[in-house]
Amino acid sequence: MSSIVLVGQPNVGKSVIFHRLTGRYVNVSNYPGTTVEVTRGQYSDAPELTVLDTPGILTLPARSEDEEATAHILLNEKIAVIAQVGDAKNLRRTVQLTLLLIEAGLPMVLALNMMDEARARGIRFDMTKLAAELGLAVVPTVATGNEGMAALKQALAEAKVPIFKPTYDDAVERAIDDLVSVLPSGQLHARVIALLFLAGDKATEVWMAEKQVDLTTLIARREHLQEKFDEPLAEVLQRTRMAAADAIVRRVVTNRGREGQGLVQKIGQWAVHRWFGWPLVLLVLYAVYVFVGQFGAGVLVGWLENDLFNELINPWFKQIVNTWVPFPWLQDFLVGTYGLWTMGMTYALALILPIVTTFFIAFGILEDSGYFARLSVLSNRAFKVLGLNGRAVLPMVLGLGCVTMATLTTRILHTPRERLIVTFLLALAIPCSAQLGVVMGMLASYGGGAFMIWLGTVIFVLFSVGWLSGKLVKGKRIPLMTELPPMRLPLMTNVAKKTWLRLKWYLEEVIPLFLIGAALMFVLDRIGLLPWIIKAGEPLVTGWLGLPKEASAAFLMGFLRRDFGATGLFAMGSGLSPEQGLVGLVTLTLFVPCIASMLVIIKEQGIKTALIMIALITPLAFFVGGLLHRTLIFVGFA
Amino acid sequence: MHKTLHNFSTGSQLIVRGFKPTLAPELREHLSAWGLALGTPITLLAKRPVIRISVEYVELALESVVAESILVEEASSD
Repeated sequence: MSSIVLVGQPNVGKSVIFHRLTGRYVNVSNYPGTTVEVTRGQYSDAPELTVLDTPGILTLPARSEDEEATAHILLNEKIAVIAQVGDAKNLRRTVQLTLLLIEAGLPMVLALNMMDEARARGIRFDMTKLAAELGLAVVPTVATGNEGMAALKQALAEAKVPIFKPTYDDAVERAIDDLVSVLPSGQLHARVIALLFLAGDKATEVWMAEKQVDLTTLIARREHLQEKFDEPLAEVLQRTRMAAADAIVRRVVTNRGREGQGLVQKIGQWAVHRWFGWPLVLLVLYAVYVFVGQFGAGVLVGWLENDLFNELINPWFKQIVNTWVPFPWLQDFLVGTYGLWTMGMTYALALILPIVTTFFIAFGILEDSGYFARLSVLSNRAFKVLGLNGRAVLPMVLGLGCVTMATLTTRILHTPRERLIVTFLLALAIPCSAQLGVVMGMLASYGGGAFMIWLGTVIFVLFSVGWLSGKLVKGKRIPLMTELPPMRLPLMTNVAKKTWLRLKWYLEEVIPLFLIGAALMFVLDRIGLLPWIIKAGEPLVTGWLGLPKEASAAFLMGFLRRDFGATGLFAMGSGLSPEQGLVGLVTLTLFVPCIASMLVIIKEQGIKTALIMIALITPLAFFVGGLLHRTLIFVGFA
Repeated sequence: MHKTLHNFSTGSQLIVRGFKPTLAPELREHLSAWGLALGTPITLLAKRPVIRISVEYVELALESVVAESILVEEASSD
């Protein structure tokens, strides 16, 4: 099946256009690197065509794993049309990528997206002249507002192979001609393969090796060409395209505009300001705490758990079950202490659902505003201690939404070393949304001091272990170089859509696991193993952590999902003192990640690394929990 | 002798005139991918906590070690 491939720089709106073309929603955010995998969907106007949403590339050669995925698609996919999505505000950068993609010799269309932002800055350019210069259809769009989509679809239907070709230095042109004569024929023009090879693109080299091309000779030719230049070849090629792009932009732009200075942009500047940045972080954290911890976990859980489930639904359901189900064991299985309904569904719907809903709303607003990317600037110095740079904060913050997804996002990091350290820290010390919500809910009842102790302990462990990992994992640190997306007012429709999709995913994943967990607890209880496990866990849970022996069940549940375990502690309510609650929550926060996260860690890092992580994380969680227990007792925390 | 970003005050309009040879090739290629090449006009937005510049309407944050390898001069003297 042929494809329309959406290609473009990071954060230019490819995923929104993908949604407009296919009707299929994929996660859309205001930071570079939201899409780390290729997403496919059927083109709604021509079902015989597949639309591919690819991770953003600044240019090629690829510099990270997500960029390599895009290079791989361009080389291996059967492409009907390349649809480049570009940021209209940054025409020069957009056109330099066009000048590379043009060489592919495939039908192509340029969607100049974010025209609203370009207009707001007063940028004006001659669209017809630009199309004529590049020899392809150029369509102005505002994908978020569904503007220009009909014209884009029309352009896709009529897409032609562009005619413009940039000219490189004579020596480069001769090398390209030499390479073209020996490269195998494929759907991409040999000239673009030659350009990518000269620039050192790894995905292209893999593709060439698969086509039985003698790489040794060609690499020698490339090295010979490199000797003629002081700069790396990739930069020589890039500079030529940039100069050509610059000349085109000068001819088509009638007004270059000026930087926006609205309130939202001002907030964006304060968010990375050396003095205002950190107070703003605290303000944001406090707002999230109030919304999720106090409103979600306090008010909403109170209504749902106490007023609705405990007062109305559960007594009614118990009565029905006890009346109509003849077997006492089955009654117990459904509505007993570890019943599918009374434990599994009540935990999932009455306790966790309101918490994750409020968390997903807050998260979506921050994500859409472009705030998260700004944290990389503020946190760079802290991450330097770990041998990382501020870009590592993005997967970490996304881990607060879902550790599984965040583990995939580590692909935006530039080296395997960075990915390994961040994956380990995600598995160890980053609580996912559900767990964080439960933690906030429990700690809200213990007071702000308890929250600060929990936060301080987790951050201390994160940085201590991170520092040690930075020393032990071989490889050099990459200094911070990152793009900051423009600060924007979040689109409420997008936040609502994202919240709904995350909730849907959450319910689909969590309810079955909570039901399995409840069933497992029921079976263990019935066959007498649960009391045995609780007794066996006593030295650790009661002796070392200082928790009531019943808390063993929560840790057992925590092996399935950390939030399930945390909910088990939450449900113990007054059965735990604030000190015990705090110790239990810190231990569970540092506990093994959920099954889904483990599977992704295995996929990304291999089973050996995943097992080593588990072997380190489990004892460390209990070790820290026990130390905290003793410290809290020592300082008289009650 | 060109100066580095550290030598200018916030708000300066600058032109990229080169890169120090000490800048690692992969970092230089990355800057180039963002459009930061010889002759590119940039604006210095801030110097702390990290250097921030704008290239066209793209805002970039660069750690000191990278920023001090970019040789620039004031746009007016171009």
